Amino acid sequence: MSAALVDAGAFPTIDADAEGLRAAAKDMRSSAKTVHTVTDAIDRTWNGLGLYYLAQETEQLLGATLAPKWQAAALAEAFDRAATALETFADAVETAKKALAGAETAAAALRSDVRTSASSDAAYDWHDDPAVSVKNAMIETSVLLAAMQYDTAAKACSTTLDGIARDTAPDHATGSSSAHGWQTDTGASASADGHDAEAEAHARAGVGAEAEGSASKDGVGSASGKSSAWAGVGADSSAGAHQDGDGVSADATAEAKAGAEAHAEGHAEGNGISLDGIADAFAGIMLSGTAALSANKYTGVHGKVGVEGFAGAKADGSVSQENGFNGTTIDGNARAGAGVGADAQFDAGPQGVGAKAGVEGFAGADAGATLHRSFMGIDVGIGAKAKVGAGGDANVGLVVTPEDIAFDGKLGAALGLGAGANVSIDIDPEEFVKDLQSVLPF
Amino acid sequence: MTTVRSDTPPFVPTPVVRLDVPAGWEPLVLPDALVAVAETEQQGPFRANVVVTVRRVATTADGGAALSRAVEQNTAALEAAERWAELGSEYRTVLGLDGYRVEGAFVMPGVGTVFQALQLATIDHGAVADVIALTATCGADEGERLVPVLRAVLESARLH
Repeated sequence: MSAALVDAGAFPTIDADAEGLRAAAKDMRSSAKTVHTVTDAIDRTWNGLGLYYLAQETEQLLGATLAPKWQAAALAEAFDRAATALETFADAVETAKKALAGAETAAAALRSDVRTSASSDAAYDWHDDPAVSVKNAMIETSVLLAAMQYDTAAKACSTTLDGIARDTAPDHATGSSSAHGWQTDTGASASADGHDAEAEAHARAGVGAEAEGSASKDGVGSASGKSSAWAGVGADSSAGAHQDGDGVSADATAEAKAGAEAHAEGHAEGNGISLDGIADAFAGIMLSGTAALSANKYTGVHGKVGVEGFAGAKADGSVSQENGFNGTTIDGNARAGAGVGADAQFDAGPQGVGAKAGVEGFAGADAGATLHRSFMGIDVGIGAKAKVGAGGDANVGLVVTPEDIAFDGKLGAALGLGAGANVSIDIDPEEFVKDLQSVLPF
Repeated sequence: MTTVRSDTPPFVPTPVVRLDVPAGWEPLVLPDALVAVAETEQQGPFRANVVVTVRRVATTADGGAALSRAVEQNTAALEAAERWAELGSEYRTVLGLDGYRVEGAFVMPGVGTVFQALQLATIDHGAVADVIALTATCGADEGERLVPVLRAVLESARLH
């Protein structure tokens, strides 16, 4: 039996906003769906280029589009689970608040009854009044029960979110951020079918505006990076792409310059592969973020290029990959100004498309990109640059055509299959041998 | 009339060399080559290959002269190659015989930098000797992947 009469003023308070939680859950689902839809469209579009896009790195680049797609799918699933957890918690918040409100009313009535009894009988002690004591205990119990249920729900929600984070997030992480966790300011729509893809979004579904940190996942790798403007889908963007049997075209509105102010750079490594990326662009930042969440999705950073191309906005980025021995750097920029209308077509003709023509053509505007391969840091100089105007005057880039085998008897048979004139391996033999000695010694 | 055969004394038959190659490699029939193999699909601007040649040379009273001269000639050829850089060289057993090996890289005109591993061995037949050269080459850009493969193919080489 309690020694004190219940006091509504001493009841615990619940600050959580059930409606706010539900709204956040709704935004998370919407944002995740948009990202998923867009990246799926990118993947389908890039793979559709396969008939035209013949270059050494075709497989690498086409494969790269899968990474953001998979990441987006994982992101959507994680967001959905998180949203469900928030909604469950919102239900618990409502239930607990109702229970506390009922207890407050009952407590006030009980205190009123006690005051009335005491005023008419100076010797009245509510402790001796079984009816009051029982009511007091019941109110106490209901408050404790509500508090306990709320606490249990909060912990369950927290555990669920932690579990989601552990699935995708690093084992060890450090960093600082001025950003907000699940910041959502979202309005987005996207559609895609076999030929057309359109997306419009204003969203801030990322993890913050300014962040810097590093993370690692045991057995997978590590990642570090900093960004300003994490916008999952970008801000106020719209873009469209069309693909048919003749090629690919894309249009972008001025709003497609989403993330123009966005900047991100990061580093990830694991399984002997390291990646460095820097981007001033739209969804490249989004993909950098997802790459950081799962360090074994290295090629996702490569996918940034595809996303930039899809956005068709101003995008500048570079990604470098080091595989302990060989390295690859991709620099890209794409610009689709307001002058590029829906009728800006890019036709990837059967004459071939340069290494970056797919990206640029997808942007539907003028664009340039360079691929460098390096050997232990030595620039190798496989390069391509293409400018793709509305007329689609793409230069054929890294198209390698097989030639007959030549036999060089003088040097004991170094058989060279001719590469296209656009390709050469300008590696310094001395540097090569030096590097080789450290990795595969004589 | 007396019949003289190339495979009967005082003549000796051409050596037979066998190689073990990994999946994705195929035989190549080439002029001057005793046996040759190459990667079936070219992965870069250069198609990796291993070629075995044999050259019958005159010997001198010095039994080791054939190998020494072969090493000298091949060293001169490699050093004449554009920007030749040697990874290492040593005298060691090749094909179960006294031999020599060298590895390095050079620039092949029109192709670019290539890695090359060369092994030499000689079979002394008295007045003549067979100089067997095993040459493995790949593009430097594929070095990480292919150098171990080339070395393995070379190490698999056997006579008969």
